[in-house]
Amino acid sequence: MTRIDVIDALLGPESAAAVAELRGQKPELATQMQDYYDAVFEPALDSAEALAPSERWLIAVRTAAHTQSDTVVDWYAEQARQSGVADVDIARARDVTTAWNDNPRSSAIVKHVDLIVTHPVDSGRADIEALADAGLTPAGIVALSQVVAYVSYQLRLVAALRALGEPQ
Amino acid sequence: MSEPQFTLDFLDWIPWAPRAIDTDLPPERRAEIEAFVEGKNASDYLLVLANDFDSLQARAFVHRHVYATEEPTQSGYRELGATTTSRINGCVFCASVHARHVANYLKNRPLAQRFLDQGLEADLPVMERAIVDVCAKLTQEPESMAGADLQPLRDLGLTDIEILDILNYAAFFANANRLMLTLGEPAAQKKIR
Repeated sequence: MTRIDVIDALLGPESAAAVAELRGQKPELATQMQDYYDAVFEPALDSAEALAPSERWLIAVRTAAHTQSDTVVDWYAEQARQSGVADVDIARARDVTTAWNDNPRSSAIVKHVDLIVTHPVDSGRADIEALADAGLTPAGIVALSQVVAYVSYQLRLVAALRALGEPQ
Repeated sequence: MSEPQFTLDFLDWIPWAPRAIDTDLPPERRAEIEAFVEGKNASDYLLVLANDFDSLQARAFVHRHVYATEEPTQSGYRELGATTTSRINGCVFCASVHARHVANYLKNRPLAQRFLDQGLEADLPVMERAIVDVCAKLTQEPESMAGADLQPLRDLGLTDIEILDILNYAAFFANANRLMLTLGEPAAQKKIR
């Protein structure tokens, strides 16, 4: 079975074609990047119980929105929509000027995501305790961190590949 | 918030979240985690990430990504990319590890020390300057990266696979820094190495 390569999808057909030869020099690295995506966004049952896939898609939207990485935001917004997340929640995730206050869990998650995307150096032990107080288990806290970390890397790899694929 | 103190010294890392092996785990999961961390450094860090084991394991393969070569000069440039991202994000732990790699691969400890001390404004040779500039842009303004930003590296003779190697590793530290900075903190090492 040929799996989708999300990096190619984010690059779009033109840029993906322009860097295909370059990426093709190390095919296992593309596979491993996709495996990491799958581990983060298609979690096993125990991990999905700690942080739901719908929460992961919204965290990814929010992460990419901070750098105005529009194609990446659109990708995760579409995944969120397909998994049944309401449009109003997706719109709120995209708008980084808006916090969420509807329940303690989601407002704690969004507050933490905004902090660790934009000022990771300012986070502290109390921020982890706040997540635990909002009901996140250690598995949920780490899964949240992995979603932010994955997307922070992915959007920069895509930006680098897009630049490499520009005509010289 | 005071400016973080960057150092080439070896550091410890103190977790803020429980280590997976200190939580209630099924025996198979526990065995899997113990096998994974055996013989690895920074094991408390890995043991915190092991609370979500599948992502830790998948990420470990990605971390070993090398697009170009293991040749010392290219490895030094790749490590300089990682150090640039870490210096900007304020990750004292990651910066100490990867600045030591820069010092070793490029056989230039003063350069690594100067970059940690002075950051993006440090006086650097032309190749190192070009690498730091493009990695800083990727860290700070990824969406304004363009082909023209790569021209200085191409003019200095780097191939596209070498440039991808450096940028990929710099990008990866957007990931690594956020995990290290937000799940625990660095501390001066107590044990003698």
